[in-house]
Amino acid sequence: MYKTFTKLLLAILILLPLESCKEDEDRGIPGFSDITVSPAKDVYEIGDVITCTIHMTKPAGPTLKKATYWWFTSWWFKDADQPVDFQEFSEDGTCVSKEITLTETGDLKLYFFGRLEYPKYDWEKIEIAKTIKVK
Amino acid sequence: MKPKLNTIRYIMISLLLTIFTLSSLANAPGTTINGTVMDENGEPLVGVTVKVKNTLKAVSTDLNGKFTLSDVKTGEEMLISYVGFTPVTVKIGSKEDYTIYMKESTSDLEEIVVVGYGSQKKANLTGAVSVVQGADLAGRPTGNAATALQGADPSFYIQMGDGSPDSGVSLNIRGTPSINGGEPLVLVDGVEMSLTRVNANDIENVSILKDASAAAIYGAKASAGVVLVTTKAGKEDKRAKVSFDLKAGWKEDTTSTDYMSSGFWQMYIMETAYYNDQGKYFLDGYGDNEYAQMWMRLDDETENPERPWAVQKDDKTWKYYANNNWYEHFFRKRRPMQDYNISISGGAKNINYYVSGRAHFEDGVLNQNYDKFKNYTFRGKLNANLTPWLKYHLNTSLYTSDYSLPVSPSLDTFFYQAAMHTYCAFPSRNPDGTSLFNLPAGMTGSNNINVSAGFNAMLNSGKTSTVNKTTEFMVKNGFDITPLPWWKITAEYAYLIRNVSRDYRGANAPYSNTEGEIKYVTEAYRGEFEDKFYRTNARAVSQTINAFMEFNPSFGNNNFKATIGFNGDIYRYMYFKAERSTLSSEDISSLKTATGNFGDITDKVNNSTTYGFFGRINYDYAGKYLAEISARYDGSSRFPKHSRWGFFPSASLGWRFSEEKFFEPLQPIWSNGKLRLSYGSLGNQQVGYYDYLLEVGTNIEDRTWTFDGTQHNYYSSVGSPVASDLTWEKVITYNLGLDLGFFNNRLSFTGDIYIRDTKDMLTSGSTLPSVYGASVPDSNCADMRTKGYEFGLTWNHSFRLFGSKFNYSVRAGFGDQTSKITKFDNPDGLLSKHYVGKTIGEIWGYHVDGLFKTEEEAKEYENTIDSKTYVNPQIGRGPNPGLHAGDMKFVDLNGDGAITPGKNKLGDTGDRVIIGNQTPRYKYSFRLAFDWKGFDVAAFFQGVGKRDIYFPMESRKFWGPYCRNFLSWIPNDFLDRVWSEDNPDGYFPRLRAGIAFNNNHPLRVNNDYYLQNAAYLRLKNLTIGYTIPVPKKILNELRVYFSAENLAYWSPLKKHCTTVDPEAAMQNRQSKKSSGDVYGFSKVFTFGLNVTL
Repeated sequence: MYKTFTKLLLAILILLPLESCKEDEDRGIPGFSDITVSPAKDVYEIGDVITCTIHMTKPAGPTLKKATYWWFTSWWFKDADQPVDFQEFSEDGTCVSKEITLTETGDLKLYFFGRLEYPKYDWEKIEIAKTIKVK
Repeated sequence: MKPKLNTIRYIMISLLLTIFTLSSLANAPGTTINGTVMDENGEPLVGVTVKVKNTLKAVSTDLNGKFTLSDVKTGEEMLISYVGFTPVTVKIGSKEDYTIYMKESTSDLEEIVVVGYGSQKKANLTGAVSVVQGADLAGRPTGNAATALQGADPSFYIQMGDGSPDSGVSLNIRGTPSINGGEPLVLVDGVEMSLTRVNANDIENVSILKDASAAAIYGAKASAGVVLVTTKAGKEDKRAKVSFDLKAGWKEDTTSTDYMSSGFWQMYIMETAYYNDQGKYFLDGYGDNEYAQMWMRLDDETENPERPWAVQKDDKTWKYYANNNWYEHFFRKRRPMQDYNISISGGAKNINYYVSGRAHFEDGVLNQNYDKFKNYTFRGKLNANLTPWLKYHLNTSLYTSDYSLPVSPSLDTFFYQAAMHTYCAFPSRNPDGTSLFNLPAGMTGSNNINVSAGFNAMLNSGKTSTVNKTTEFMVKNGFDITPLPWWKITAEYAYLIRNVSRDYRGANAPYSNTEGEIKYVTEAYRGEFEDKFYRTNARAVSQTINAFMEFNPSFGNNNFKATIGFNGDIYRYMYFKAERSTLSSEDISSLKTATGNFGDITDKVNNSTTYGFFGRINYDYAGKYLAEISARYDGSSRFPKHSRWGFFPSASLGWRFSEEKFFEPLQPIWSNGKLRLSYGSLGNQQVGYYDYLLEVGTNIEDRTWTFDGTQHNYYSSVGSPVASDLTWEKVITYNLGLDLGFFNNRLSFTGDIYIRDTKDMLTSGSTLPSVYGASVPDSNCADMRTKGYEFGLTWNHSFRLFGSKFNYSVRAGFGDQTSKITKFDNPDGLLSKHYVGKTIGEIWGYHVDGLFKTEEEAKEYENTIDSKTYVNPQIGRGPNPGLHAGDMKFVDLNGDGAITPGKNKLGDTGDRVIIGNQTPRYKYSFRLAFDWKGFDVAAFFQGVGKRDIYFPMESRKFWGPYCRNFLSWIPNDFLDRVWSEDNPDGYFPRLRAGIAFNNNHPLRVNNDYYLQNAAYLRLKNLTIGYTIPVPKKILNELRVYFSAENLAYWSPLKKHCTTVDPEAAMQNRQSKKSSGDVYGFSKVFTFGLNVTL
């Protein structure tokens, strides 16, 4: 009895993630690489100008109605006048941010956001971040 | 009307003289026998009636169960009867001492039922009377008797005004008797009182007198039926019984409160709806960038310091990107409640008493500065046998309540306004702690935004308060005089004083939209924000005089019971209000600390008097053939002198066919059968105090005017003319009833069918030419007929299960009625008025054949219908005018190529037909209970089988953005129900703001597609208890229990709306309350302890 119950529990635990993967595949959620920062440095300095790049590793499925992508950084959240940096993916699946001038020291999070509009308002949020150090 | 008090005095003196004269004749000498009456266990029974058949001789047993009968003869028969026991007949022989054992009755036929000015054996009732036992109500976690009685009888309908702790209540028995309303007369121990002021734990039983014959003895106030509440009393020669009932728990909303808190989604839905209707955005300051900002904060249920919800701009104003759950900000999900009851009852020789007290505390639903309700009740009863023929009884009750609110008095206004402009993207406070209110044009776009109409600022500042206090004290003194065993006289006087006061402190509410700049919401915006104080005091004094006597002679098998008497009600209502603005302190609220103008100063007095003379004769032959005749002659000061008095007779017959010889073979199975037939006429005096008088009002005008060189700003004006011949509405009821019992009455059935004719209803008379210049006066010119039926089934049984007695019972009730207008002065058959043949509650509307599935289908339809007609002109608006897939397909029923209401009269109703009826139909209830080995479980279900409702324009919780485009409290699953190209099965049409709100728009007009089925079944109460076995020497009873009220409901309404309780949706369709934006009903969960010493 105990063994049967354990087996059943294990089966459920294994199948549940598979099921959610299946759902993602059905909806055709695209895959993305990590963010790369140019120029690449271990530590950046105030005044450095950088750009961020991300690659679409898996294309969106056909059910995707609309996708909106943008770049943002952690300090911009408190800056009312700083608009988000809307960008689109190029044909080769690359999305590059506008140039970002570093003006604050410390850990800086560079964000890539996406809003994927699937039917029935079943929308998906994409949030990918990379932290760089600025001194 | 000038009450003729001399007449009353004369009657009283005559009665007393008669009593004393006859009482001296009461004792006659004779041969004596003695006896003892005991129960099956040999315990003596006190107060058992021992009567010698076919004579007037009758006595009661004493404290030891003993009795003595004088002047009896061998061969005569003694009839020994006692409540709850099967009557015993004993033949008198030669012996002088008798020991008589009585068996507890399993039948409720021996039950004594309280009826008007007396009581009767249930078996002998000929009218339609239902009884609810107090034991079924005790322990339930309800605030008062009204909520405890909800659903207890399917013909007795109790509708709470809302879910607030001091909510009013509306009642009806067998539906409302008149188009003008009318509520049953509620008498608590013979005194008119509200059920909401009665502690349910004090109730012994409740009799519901449904037909005119049962209620006739109450005359003018009883046209809608009578509810007689009898409170508990002590028992003579019983040691003191001290009972505690302590319970504590919490309350929750009965409906879903799973509302959106996402700033992104709520704004997206609202703005999409607005754009689809108007072709522009309402919050046009929120563009792609702002939506992206909200999207980035989508998952932040609370404010993430890294991603603040308010970001300051250069001009020191803020941009808002919150995920604020405004519902949870304003309202509490769980509210604590406590209820403590104590009662002490007992008696000694010739005296018994009952004293009870209750303290009830609960927090309300408001979350910012809680609303708190406190209530204390007290009741004391004393019965004393002063002499063998004179009994004194005293009954007092005290009710006090205190309900404090952190808002202005009209909670309806708060519930209505709280959702306005409360976008989830807006936090309640700015980062500097100031409140959000006015966001001027430019801050969020080109429109001015007033967050929650200022109530957010009001609640945050905490300076506004309302305290409602009610005190009600009643004292009743009375005497029962029994000159002869078959003759009883009762004289009683009750005085009830009710004081309802309100202290209201309004205040300006601070807010800010720019850091460092504090502004105030003031009366210039809404009256609620005026810095002012007012106090109101309403005092009602009600005096009731009852003097009646009852004769109860028997001659052989002929048993008579006659009651005659007088009832007088003198009522005086006084109201005072004084208001003054500009207080010198924020914290001290008083007229004396106010320095501004005096506002509303009101002084009002109303008087009314009702006198009634009544009589009733009951006759039964051998308990087999039953008859009752009663009449009442009533006078009311609410009518002009010449039509002040009314005579209201009634008669009823009963035949207990189960007592016939021919029925004997069936008795083992079919133990009881009774047929009842009744007719009665009653008056309805529920009109205004002075409706028959032409009033001259005094008014104050803002502008002054000059007369004779003096400036004035007061003036008087004459009201509209009134009809001089106003008189009673009359209610005539015909009732046919059947009572059956099977298996020694283990299974019992009672059923009634009835017709109720309401004659001479007050309403506006004939239409007069417009040159008349005033509104048409009301006169007695409309009739209505109500037809209905109801039945109840009870099954009681017990058997042994694993060595212990298993008791269980099932009780069910069902009832229905419909009312039709049979006379109304509306020759044109205008649908805007009542008309002959109209079923009360009917809903007229269009037929909608679903939503257009494709653009082609919509265009094809558009080509066949005149697009300028009633419903369709609105299709020409927005960015994409015309009909489209997802729009509603109104059916051109009359085939004229247009969708119109016609001339809105019978014969020309355009494309409208009757699509439903909002009257609750097929009301039912059932109760299942069992107890075994100390465990007891009771479940009580209640419901309505059919009721339609078309949600009106302000029903935000149903229509959401279809109603208004700036509302909060959007259900999280709202979009799942909205039609879109990829959700073609969505219930609601293409998303467009205002189409449920604006005149003649598709959802605003009643139609069958969005007509809701608001039938429901509710698990009203579930109680699970366990009686802990403890030695009786220590405690008589120790029981722990869990009780839940309104635990769950099932309703077809839930398919499309889980946020409106089907019972709350029963409000007046024209009222804002119909929106469901009211103080919601609550589930109550409590754990309790019963201790009896």
